[in-house]
Amino acid sequence: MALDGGWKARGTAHLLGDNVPHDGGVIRFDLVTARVQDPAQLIPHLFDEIDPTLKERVKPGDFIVAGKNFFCGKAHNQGMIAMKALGLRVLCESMPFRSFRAATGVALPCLVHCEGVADFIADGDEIEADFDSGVVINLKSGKSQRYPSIPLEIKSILEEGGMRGMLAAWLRDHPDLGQAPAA
Amino acid sequence: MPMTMAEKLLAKAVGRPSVKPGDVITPDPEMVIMHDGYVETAHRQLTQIGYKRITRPERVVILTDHNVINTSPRAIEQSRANRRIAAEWQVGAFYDVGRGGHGHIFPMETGMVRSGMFLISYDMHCTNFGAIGAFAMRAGPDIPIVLATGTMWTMVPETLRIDLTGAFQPGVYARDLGFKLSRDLSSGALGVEYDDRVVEFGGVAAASMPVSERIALCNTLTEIGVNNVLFPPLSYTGEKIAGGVVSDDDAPFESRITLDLGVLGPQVALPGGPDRAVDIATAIGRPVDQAVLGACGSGMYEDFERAAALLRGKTIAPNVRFFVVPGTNAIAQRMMESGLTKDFMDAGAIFLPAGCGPCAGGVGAPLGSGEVSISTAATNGAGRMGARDAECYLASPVTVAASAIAGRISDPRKVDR
Repeated sequence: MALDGGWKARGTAHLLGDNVPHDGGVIRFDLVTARVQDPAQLIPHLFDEIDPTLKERVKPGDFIVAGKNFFCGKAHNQGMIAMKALGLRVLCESMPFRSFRAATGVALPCLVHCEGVADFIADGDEIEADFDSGVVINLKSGKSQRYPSIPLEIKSILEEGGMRGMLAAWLRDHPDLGQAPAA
Repeated sequence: MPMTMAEKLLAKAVGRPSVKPGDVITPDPEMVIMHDGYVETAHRQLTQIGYKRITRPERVVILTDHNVINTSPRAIEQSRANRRIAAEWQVGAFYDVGRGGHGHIFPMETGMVRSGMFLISYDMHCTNFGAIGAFAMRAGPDIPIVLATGTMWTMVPETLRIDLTGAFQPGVYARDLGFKLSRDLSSGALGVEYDDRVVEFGGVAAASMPVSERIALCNTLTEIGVNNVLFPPLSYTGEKIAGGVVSDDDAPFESRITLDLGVLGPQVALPGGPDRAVDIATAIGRPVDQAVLGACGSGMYEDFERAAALLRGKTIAPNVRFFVVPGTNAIAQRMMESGLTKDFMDAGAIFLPAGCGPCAGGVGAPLGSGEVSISTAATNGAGRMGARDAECYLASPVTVAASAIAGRISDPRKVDR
């Protein structure tokens, strides 16, 4: 099985700064508390509070390139669901573990140890990032960096499509769990 | 290879001689605990995929602590669904409405959760079990993975070791330290990383700290996003445990700091979060409509005992509704037998059944628009205990009792005994 869109992808980099929170940054807090899960309802409000036009500039395969502590705050996933539906990927200098876990749950690929990534990538640059090897190339300047890759165990969850896909795969491998227990 | 206490407990749970921070692991829990509020959701998610049973149901414990009193038609339906699902899944134990007590206290009281154990729990405040030296990992919305597969992936966290020295001044308790530490860690004042770190308490003052106080500290710090909070092994009733799991002397702590308990005064957490702690002087005098004792961080017998000592022979202010929520049925029983219940009722308190009390969304004692409360709740974000524009202050049990008497936020050191 391969990651949706492949491990290596090319797209435009959209730069965000440090400490962008999920709630009230990536997505409006009222959509979080309303527990909206439908991407069609979430996408129109993605990044509203940090850059209202960004959602119109991104195209599938593009990269959100953030600084330290991306998706900080409580580990909700509404913004991640919208980003996944848009086919986005994340490169950032760091991400709280709870948010990384939530992103993995919705199969949003995130490379989270890209130290100094904004030093060689500018907003709007075309880049190539290989989430398998960790190599990120600025196609405009030709500069590249190798970052720590995604752990093997997490790659397989991303390939299966996050929590739901992983649970479906587990059920296929353990068909007894689809049989009601004897009373 | 020297290891921290957390690394040892996780290594044991994956059957390896050692683990190190950053390792991706799938530890095997001895027990899986869920509360009544998420059973239906997890069941629906699994059923939609085609699951009709769960893996190792005998290890799964469901406790009812959020909706202990069914105050709405929806709560009645939820209780009914939980009964049906517990039977369908054939879980190891199901504690129904009014049975048992708080899911972060009752399992220690009964001995289900013991020092040195690794378990997985739905709710983040399972870190309470660190008070006796058990490692409970929070699953949150990933709990269906645990129910289906028996485990879930995690990453071994770094450990921040905090050595405690000295002794609290009169009127100051671990809950105060919890608020102060939450503020100083999250503001960066202590200059150490805390996000997703295990906070391990050590030193003379931690070793001698009673379980009720340890729970208060474990509970409060959880709100700022630490991975877990651990204390040296101790039984729930306070007996030392020979050969328990502790950090090696040369364990690779990411950082290590020492705190003197003696320099601390009572704290109050302003509405918004436990990390919004201030010295009590800043909040003194704010009139309160409601005071609440109990919830997972302050629901132990000793919490009520201290508050009752301050309250005995006094009556609460006429403008205050004062609710008392024992952590478990056994604690409520002990309060009745020792006379604490009478002390509280003589003062004008109202008892709620053992469990979360109004900290779980205002159940049983909600706040109205614009009202002010002071409580020992786990947290105090907008809308936590009812109306979104209500103000929720947090404090130690004695500060809450002092404030209930005065009808305004008050310093427990200034109450005549």
